[in-house]
Amino acid sequence: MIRIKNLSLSVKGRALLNDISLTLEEGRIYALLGENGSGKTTLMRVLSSYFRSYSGSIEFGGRELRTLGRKERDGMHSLLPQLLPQSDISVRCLLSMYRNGLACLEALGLGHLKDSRLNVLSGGEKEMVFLALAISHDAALYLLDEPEASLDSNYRKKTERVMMDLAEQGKTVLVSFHDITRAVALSDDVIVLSHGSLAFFGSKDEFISSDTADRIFSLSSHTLDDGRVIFI
Amino acid sequence: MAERRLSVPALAILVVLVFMLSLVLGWAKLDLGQAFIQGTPDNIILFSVRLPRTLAAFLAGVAFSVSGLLLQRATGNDLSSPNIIGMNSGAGAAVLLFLSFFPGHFRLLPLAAFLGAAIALALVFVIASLSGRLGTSGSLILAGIAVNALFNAAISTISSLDPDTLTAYSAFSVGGFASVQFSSLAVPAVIIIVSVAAAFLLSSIIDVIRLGDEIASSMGYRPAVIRTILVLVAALLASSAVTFSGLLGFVGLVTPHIASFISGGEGRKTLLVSIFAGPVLVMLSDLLARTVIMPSELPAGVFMAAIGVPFFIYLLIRRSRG
Repeated sequence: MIRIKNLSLSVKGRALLNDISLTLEEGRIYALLGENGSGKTTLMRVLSSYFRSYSGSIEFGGRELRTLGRKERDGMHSLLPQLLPQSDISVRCLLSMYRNGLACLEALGLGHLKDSRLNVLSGGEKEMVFLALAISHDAALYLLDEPEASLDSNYRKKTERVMMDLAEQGKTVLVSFHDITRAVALSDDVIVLSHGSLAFFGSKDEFISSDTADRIFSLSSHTLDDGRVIFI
Repeated sequence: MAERRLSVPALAILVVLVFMLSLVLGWAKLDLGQAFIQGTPDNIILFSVRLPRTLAAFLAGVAFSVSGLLLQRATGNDLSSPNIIGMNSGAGAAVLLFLSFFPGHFRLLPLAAFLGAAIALALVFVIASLSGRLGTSGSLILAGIAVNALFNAAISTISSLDPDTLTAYSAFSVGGFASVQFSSLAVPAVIIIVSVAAAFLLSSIIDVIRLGDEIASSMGYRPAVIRTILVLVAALLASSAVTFSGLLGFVGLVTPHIASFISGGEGRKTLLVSIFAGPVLVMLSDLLARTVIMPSELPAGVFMAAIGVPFFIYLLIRRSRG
């Protein structure tokens, strides 16, 4: 269990997160929503030890994140960042960081990319290679920052499968989305940030029946005949 | 891929070949039969002139190229190298200042050089962080240019006020190996060997840092700490080499690119290729420098540029075409 209590963060005098408290359970997929600049990426960066000067506490299994050593931190969080690094490094070299990196790429059906260099891949291929890196990293919490932004429907299905598999293995998955319909379809719970504060936290059913979508995004929910919920 | 797998052994053989050539070729024709008999002129030329000079070129090649590689990885900027971000000129100014106050104290030179490089580095990073984000913009390079100008001015000032200092160090500003002796190599050699060993220990972390601070942090690393360590090792390497080679610049910029191109980017292999490719480049430059206009000679730095620049331009064009 990951317990976030009264988390606040200011960087260079600017308050980016204000007093956020959340508890994330194992085996669940959490959709992280919010407008641009609402603090989604910042929250992911705090939860992956990139920002360490936060106030409040972040406890992984009862232990404060900041007090953990290098190897322990490595075992807690794995991040797929929104902005991927530019590099001419080979895919094989990249995915040899963790033992089963190439196996993860094969499992995504992209084994043919392993001898390419990163800078020749398409945006979607690159995203999938870094997704393979993120899931080859054995951690308690998987943070996927807008993994679907540059993906076609085929790659989206694969990403969806990855999230389901991680949750089935008892991992905690936090995924940020811009597409609310998609977020609701894929997640168990929904977290909404607004101006760095927590605007909503609850199950997706609660989210659908609440006025949060209307209030924050000016969207309303509609249930289709086949039971799917869309936001328009 | 096959030719890439052979590249390390091929380069190793090339290093040995160029090393041998550098010992044998020169203005004075060497009689190898005589060279191993103590006291003969051939013996003195081989062991007191050419061997220290070739070793110096070898060590400088290793030091500048590994230093450049560490700097490029630490800053995430392909243009950083010890000469461009002011490390070499900082070390050089400190060396000249030290020599003009304490002539003959060769053993302490590497310490003075390291302090000079560290001051230059601190200045560059402070200026760059005030003027923009490190690595992501040209601010590091621009700060380097400013600091370089400052220390090059200091070097010119010291050498004008105290011309004797510089005559012992001919061709200091472009880099060269004329009149290098074993005594001035001993301490820098130890520092270079230890620093290269440290670079090998850090090579897997170098791969991680290339993925950016977000991924490196999520893998448990502290990117700022790693970058600082890498930059300090780079400063040790470059400043030690500056004490005996002068401001030999280009090798530190170009070798990491050659190495990355040959190795496929993997940290340890890139490091290994740099360690072989750097000395080949420097030893060849020195060999040309002292043979082309025999019996006179040019500074090795001149040929370094002559070999390095066209290759660097080729790499840049190739890279821009993907």
